[in-house]
Amino acid sequence: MSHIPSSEITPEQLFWQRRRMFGLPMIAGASAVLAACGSAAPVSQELPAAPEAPTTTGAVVGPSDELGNTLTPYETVTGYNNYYEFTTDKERVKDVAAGFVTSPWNVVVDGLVAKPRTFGLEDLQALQAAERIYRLRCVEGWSMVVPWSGFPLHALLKLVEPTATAKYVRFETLNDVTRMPGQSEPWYQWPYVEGLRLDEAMNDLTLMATGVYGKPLPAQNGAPLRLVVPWKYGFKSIKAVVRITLTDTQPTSLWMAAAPDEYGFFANVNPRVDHPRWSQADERRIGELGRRPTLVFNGYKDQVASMYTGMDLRKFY
Amino acid sequence: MTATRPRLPTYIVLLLCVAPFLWYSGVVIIRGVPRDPIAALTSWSGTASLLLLVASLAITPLVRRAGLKAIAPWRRPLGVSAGLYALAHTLVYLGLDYGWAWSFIWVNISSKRHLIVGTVSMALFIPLLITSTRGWQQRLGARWRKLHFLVYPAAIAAGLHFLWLVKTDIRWPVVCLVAIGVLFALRLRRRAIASR
Repeated sequence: MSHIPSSEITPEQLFWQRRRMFGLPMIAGASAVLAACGSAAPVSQELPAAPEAPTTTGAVVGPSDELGNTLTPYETVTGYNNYYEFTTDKERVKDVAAGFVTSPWNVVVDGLVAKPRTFGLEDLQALQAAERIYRLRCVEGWSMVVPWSGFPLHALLKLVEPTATAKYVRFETLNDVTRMPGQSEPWYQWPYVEGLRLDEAMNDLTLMATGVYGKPLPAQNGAPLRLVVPWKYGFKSIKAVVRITLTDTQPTSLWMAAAPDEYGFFANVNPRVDHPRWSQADERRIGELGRRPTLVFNGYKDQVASMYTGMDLRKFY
Repeated sequence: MTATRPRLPTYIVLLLCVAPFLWYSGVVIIRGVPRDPIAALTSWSGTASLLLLVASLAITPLVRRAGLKAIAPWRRPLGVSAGLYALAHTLVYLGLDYGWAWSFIWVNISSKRHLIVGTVSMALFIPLLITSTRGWQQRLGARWRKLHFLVYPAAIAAGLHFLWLVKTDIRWPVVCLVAIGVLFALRLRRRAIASR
């Protein structure tokens, strides 16, 4: 049901050729700058007060992220993930989600906003476009590196003008068991709900993704519109979003309701705070043997740590 | 007695022992190599071990209560293959998943209850595997039965390992633990009757 004819979708190979043309000089330039300042910490970034601020972190410039991590292949990104609305089998989400209809699709943005509005997907696609390579760290202990495309959430929130009393953003997935068979599972309170604090939602890293690898988002990855919050565990990045509500109270996510001792509201990637059932100190990058150490805030400390100054991240996990 | 016992071809039990391997090979052939092969190998070897363990423990009650005398010789090969799948499971975890990175492994094993009981289960299994031959059975005599009674604690630990690692849907671990519990109860009852 996608509007884009398959002939217009950039093949992965061509996608890389195009990136390389202008990407490589940028990488070379960046390394020169980094070499100049030795191993010093990267220049800290201010919170993006102005949505127009150019995207630097995670911009798609080549076949790796800003730390030099190789992208996870398209087939793996689109063939292995959690999406309980379809099935709990990560290998089968792709098959069960095949044929999921994402058009027409509306997103209600309401709550504590001056201009509540229902957006059609086409309205959203007109928003400030962004391409970002982000590390994705699943709470289960595996990770990938994914090139997303979409728009920063702050570009959308700016349009509806959150009021001064708005403190949190609540997201909701489509609730339709006829289209999402996994919602018949009695273990969870459907629909899937997630939430962010308003400053987290306004952070420039916070992306609403509509594509991956330069192609429209496949159903199994959360088409047509999903959240991507790269410094938090993957489950925070809610898929198939139909409603975004600004609130003054902290939303209760599906996972908080299902297992409050295991899943907190913040769910920031933190190697020092274990999941009750396993260590979060390490992760398996899909496709690699062995483990790599997990990075604080998934490697986005410089962009996000200031939002949590003074907070006990063990208590607010 | 032995002469009158009905005999089944040996290949049937051998087929049962390799059935999980064949099944998952079929899955790979039909669905392709998993995107996370290490996670798949871990899950498959663990599942195979538990299934064969329950099957092995069920043999004696089936022989005694259901009169299926012909399957009596299956107990040992089923038990040994359960132990070998558990060993493969452990080696995949230590070697492939963690690449023998003992610092990571120790942090995990020492702090997580499902890994503690999993380690206990494997530790109990190793002496059973080593002494599973007829030679060891003869050498140990009466002590062999006592030693191999440890298969029950090992099985319970393995069932708890499964229960404590799943996220929310605990149906299969519960089925597994109930089966092990019932078989253990039958065994204890038989022992009580025998010592009366």
